[in-house]
Amino acid sequence: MLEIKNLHANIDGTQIIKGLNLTVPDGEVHAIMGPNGAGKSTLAQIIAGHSDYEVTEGEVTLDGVSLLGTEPEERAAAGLFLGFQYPVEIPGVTNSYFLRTALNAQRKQLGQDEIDAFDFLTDLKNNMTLLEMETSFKGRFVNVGFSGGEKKRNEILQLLTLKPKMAILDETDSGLDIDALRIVSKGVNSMRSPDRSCLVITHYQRLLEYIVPDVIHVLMDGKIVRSGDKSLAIELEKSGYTELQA
Amino acid sequence: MTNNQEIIASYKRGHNVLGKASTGELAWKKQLREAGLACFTEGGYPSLRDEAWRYSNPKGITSKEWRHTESGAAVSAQGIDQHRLSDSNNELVFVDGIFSQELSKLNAIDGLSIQPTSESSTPLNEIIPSTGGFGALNDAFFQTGAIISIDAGKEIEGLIHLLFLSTGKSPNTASHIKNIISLGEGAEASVIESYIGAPDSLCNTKSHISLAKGAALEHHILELGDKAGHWVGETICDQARESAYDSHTFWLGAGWARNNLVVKMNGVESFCNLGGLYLTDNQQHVDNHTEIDHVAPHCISRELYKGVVAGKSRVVFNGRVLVRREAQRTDSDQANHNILLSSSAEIDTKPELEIYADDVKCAHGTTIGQLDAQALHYLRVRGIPKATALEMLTTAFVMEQIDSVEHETLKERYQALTSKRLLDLGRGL
Repeated sequence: MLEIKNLHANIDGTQIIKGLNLTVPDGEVHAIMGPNGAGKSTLAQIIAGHSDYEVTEGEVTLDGVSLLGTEPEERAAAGLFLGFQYPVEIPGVTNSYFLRTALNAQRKQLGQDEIDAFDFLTDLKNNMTLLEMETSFKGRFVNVGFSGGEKKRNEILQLLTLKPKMAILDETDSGLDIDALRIVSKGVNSMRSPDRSCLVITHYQRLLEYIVPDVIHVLMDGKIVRSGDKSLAIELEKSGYTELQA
Repeated sequence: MTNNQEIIASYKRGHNVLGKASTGELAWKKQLREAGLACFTEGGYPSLRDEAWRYSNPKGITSKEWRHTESGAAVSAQGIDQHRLSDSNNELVFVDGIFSQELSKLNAIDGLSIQPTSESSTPLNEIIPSTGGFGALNDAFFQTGAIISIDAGKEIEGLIHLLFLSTGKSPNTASHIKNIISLGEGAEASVIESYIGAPDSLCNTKSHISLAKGAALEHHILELGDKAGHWVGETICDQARESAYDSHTFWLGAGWARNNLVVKMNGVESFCNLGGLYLTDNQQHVDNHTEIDHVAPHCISRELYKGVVAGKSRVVFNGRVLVRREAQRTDSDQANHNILLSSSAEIDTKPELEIYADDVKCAHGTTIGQLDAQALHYLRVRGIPKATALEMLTTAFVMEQIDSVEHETLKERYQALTSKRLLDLGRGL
């Protein structure tokens, strides 16, 4: 369970998150919607531990354990995953090596043995089949020369391989055509289980037709201003955010 | 040049001892040493006032009184084992500049002859031209090294490994080495010089390579010195027509290292490739001065030096490419790429292209950058600790220098050594 209480954060002295409260219980999928500049991506980066942001007040816990003040890699090992809005290209590091290193680094932090090479490759192959990715992507450098859609699919491949307890997906749907959206959603939905939860950040109601959320939150000006079930997305699509602001 | 009388006097004393110990030696050797000392007495050490040394102050060397040994310190076979290369057909071990028969592994191979340089039948100054500074010092206190000759048409499998070990057992010990590698027409071979340094040691080497028509040499210098050790070297390669010189240098240890690499492309349609990798931290200083002399037309030269520079270390790269008037249709490409890991590290890089022919293709490029902070963050968010993430990114940056090595055993050795070194560099951040 992810719990955020009274979170305040700023970057270079500008306050972006202004007293945010949010709880995502185990097994649930929540969505955050909101206008540009509301602080959605900032929230995602703060939870993942980006050093550019300074948390001035509040707390963020995963299963009751505080994440604030820990390194990004420790948060990952604790079961947190962030799907990037803009996945980073890493020349010289192959996808398969990257994933195996990440998985084993997390296992090491948890005091577990390295994953069996055969098991890893089998799982990777299955996940790639699910995401309709060609096997050549294993040996390609991380995100280098990938199209926008391929990069997002690659994020979901990492999600499926690392199997986190809590996944935050930051605008995973942006830049996806309808087929890619279907595939990415299929990947996310395959992860749904009573002990995993997911926080989906999006601009559009469209994604939520594929990944149906339990709760939708509206984030504006650094705070959650409204929460509701999936019908809230349809309402927003009609009325826009300005109405909420009034 | 500095002309420190005190130092020169101490060298003269050392030289007298050397002279007495070596009575009965070949006449050329005595002459070489005497001429070297005379030249050194005249010119002394290079200093910052010399253009070629303006970024590299050798004061760590010039301030010390070096001893020169005539008998190597005792080293156990186990002490050497980790530095051996399984793919070697011949492994010659030198301890503090002295050839060790018992530690060496020699195999007779058809077409290959190896002998200690000190036993050369040709006077060395007829093979290696004398130069001033460290070169003169090398002449004055010359110990030995290896003469490797490959007969025309012979292709030697595996590696010829020259392993130079400084023991540091008696402080301020210097070794002065000369290697001579010559390949006959169409011959092929791979030679690696490994230098294992020690604290308060100086290794001063001078090598000469000659490649006859169509000969191909893969030549490696692996420097694994100690951070309190010093290394100075010069390699001159003379290429005849259609020959190929493939050089790989790895600078992974010494506190202070300076290498001059000069390639003379004297014959048409010859090819050279110069690869270099340096990984530095703390107070290390690594200076690579390379010079490719396009004498003949229709030659191709390729050069790529790369490095990761951390701590308060300083790196110098000076890449001179000279294209003479006769050297039409020269195709030359030079690049030097660096990553700075700290704000206190320094790189002085200078391409030096001098082109007198008009129908040539000459390119050069230099970059100095930082590690991609976004990529580092991305790896960490996936659970990879900072030190490992840094090692992954820096390894990715330097990998092409290792991938371009053909010998599998060497490639594996370089991979292991660079990975360890890059982890060290990352930990310091």
